[in-house]
Amino acid sequence: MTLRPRSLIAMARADLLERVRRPAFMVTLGFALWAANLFTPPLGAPYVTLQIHGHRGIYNSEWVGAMTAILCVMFFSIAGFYLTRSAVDNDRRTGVGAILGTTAMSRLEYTLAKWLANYGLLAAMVAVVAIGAAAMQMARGEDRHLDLLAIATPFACLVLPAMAITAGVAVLFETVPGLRGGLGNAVFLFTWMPAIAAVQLRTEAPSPWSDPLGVNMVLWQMIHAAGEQFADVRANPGSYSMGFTFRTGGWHLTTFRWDGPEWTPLILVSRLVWVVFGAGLAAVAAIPFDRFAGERGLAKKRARANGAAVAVAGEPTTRVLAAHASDLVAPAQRGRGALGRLVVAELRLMFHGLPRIWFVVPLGLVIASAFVPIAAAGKVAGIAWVWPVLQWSQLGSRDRRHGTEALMLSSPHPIARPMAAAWIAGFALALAMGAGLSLRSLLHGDVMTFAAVLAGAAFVPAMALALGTWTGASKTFEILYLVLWYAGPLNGIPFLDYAGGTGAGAARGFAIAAAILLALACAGRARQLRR
Amino acid sequence: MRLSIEGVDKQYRGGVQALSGVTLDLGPGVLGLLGPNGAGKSTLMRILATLSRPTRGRVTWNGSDLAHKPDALRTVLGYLPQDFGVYPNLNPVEFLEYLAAARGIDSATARKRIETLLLLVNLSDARRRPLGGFSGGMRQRVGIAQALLNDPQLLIVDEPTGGLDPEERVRFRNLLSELSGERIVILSTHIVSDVEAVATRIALLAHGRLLADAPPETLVKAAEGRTWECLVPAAELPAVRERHRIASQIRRSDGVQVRIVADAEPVAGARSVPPSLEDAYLLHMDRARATTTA
Repeated sequence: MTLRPRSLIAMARADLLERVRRPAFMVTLGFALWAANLFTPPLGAPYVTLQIHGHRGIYNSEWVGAMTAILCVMFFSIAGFYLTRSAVDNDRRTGVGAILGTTAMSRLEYTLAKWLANYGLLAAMVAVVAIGAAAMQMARGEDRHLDLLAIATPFACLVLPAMAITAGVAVLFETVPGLRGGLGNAVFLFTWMPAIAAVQLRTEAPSPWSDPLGVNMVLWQMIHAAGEQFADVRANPGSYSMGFTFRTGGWHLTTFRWDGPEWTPLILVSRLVWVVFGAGLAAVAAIPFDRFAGERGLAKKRARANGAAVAVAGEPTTRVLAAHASDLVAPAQRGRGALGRLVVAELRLMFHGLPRIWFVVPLGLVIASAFVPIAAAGKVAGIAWVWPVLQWSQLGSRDRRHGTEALMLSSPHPIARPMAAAWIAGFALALAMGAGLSLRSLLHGDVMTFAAVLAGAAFVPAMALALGTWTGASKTFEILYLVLWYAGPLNGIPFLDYAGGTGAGAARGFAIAAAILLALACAGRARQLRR
Repeated sequence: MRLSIEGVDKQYRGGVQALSGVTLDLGPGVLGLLGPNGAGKSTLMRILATLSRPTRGRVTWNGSDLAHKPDALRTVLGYLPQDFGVYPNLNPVEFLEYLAAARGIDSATARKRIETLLLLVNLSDARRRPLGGFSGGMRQRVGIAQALLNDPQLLIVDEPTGGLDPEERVRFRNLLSELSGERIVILSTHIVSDVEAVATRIALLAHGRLLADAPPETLVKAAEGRTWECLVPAAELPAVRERHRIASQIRRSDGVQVRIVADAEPVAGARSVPPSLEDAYLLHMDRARATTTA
């Protein structure tokens, strides 16, 4: 495989420019800035993002820089994957891939260029968080001496290498057959999130070679520093929390001064090696990369379809019209049952082409949720709710993705009827996923759990429609839904459990959210008409 | 059956003026909408198809303003956009059934119509094949079928013959003239021969303005005495091309036979020939360009 640095950089540059010029990129940067704000909660906030047995560092540049960098690694290594993983798919969909496939570009050049563009995009986002962190230090006002180098160093040494790995994984998932679509999204979530959750500190300093994200090394230094000042930390070395941790009544942390992590030459070299590892993942991605051979497969399919069509000379139109004129002009019974027919058509679109095994898994889960011990029923039912994520995610964006928008929008009642049909189809699917739990609760007279399942079933398609209509893509829903599902139905956080597994506590909230989201979806559809 | 376009302007965000004061009053028949790329044809089509609203002016269907009552038209509208997609995993029958449901057509009627329409667009043999494997021309024929699903009174077709092979193009043109009896058909294209074959009336659009609105023969008449043919040596061709608008050229052993659109005899010895619609079109576009430049 040849590697021409100039063409690699040119490809990466073009890809990066194309992506940063999308309005969605500015929205992403806005989210990055907002994240910087969330990562540094003030004292007395109902949540903390990093505490060590009830203590945290005073918000000086060293602590704010290191803490936001750690959180950045944790969250953006997941979000960054979803943000960047459509680089190859875009080329496939726009047809640019078919052109590139015919050039002298090598597979290695292509995957490395995609990695570089992904990395550039993530680096821009990280830079915004770093700027936001500096602003937050000043806003919180615990220490007004701003040391920009102390803030920037953890981002450069910790976050950027981690993002290199994320960028590489994203490219790899796009080239490995089977991981390109929504399955890849789910596989990543179920491997990466537990991996992050499993970050456990040992008593000795972690080796930089076994810490690709770099979180452990800095966290260990933070805990070590806290331990030097607080005896209770020394007595409870494993007592700390990272990420958004809520507590009723809020947190009352004591603060201490920390002078920042020590960046030893070994750590710095290891971080560079992890950057190379990220690029290496992209290089490995070149092996399964098919150079858009799928396009060639399509050409073969087309040739077959074409052959059949041109082999028969068409009957003259005059003759067809004369013979079938009455069929074309027969008055249609408009409106009668139109919604029902559209719901059936939506359901058909949802399930078209799915193998039988697709139906077996959720069916098994639904049946199991009806018969397993009641304590486990909620969790089993919850697992079923992730299965149709790709069917729901198409609801609001299918027209735009497939270019049928103009055909649908020029039909009668282009807002209410298709929106209602799509929502009903999605609702029916969600209800099917919750059927085991809801039947069981009804049989036991537990109307509230049944109501919770109904509210969740109303909420999910409404969320899919709203996000799909406004973003024009399915990805936003897929990401947010998986995060919500992970936190709610799977981990049982009551106010996020839309599947009803933890009871009916959130039912009202999800019902209201469903109504709001449905209204938003309709507004989005109306907006498409006003352009 | 009346479609009225009254002083329609369309300005996009960023100040791009796509249409300026377009006025047309249409009854049954085929209107050919001709104009160069970027003339505003597709913008006008989208407004007529209720997908976009004018910035100023109004469009009425049988007296109802489309801005306020778009569904009055949508139930009798057939629209073939310039760019449209299909669901790749569905076959043409399933796709058309889906669109029929979206248009509120009952299942029995839809089934019969779909069979007939697939015969009409010569796709009966491909009726069970997934659309993802269709060529551009075959997809276009599916698009034509969907536009006719609801027996439309107003049929809007935007660049319909793009991607069709010559045989299918002729077939589509025949279909369009056969369907045009009691409907309003608006055919937007920059392929003059397509319009020439079917249009009973032609509207010329350039830079968002309506340049002409007349029957084809009136437009052609305006170009009489302004179309010339002559034989020029191959070496002189660049100079002739620089001075005059060349409508067509044919290489011959003794030089190049060129067809020129010009107000006066362009080259000594050039003979005046009867103009075609394409010559008339070029003449109008040249005049519009001259006006804009001035």
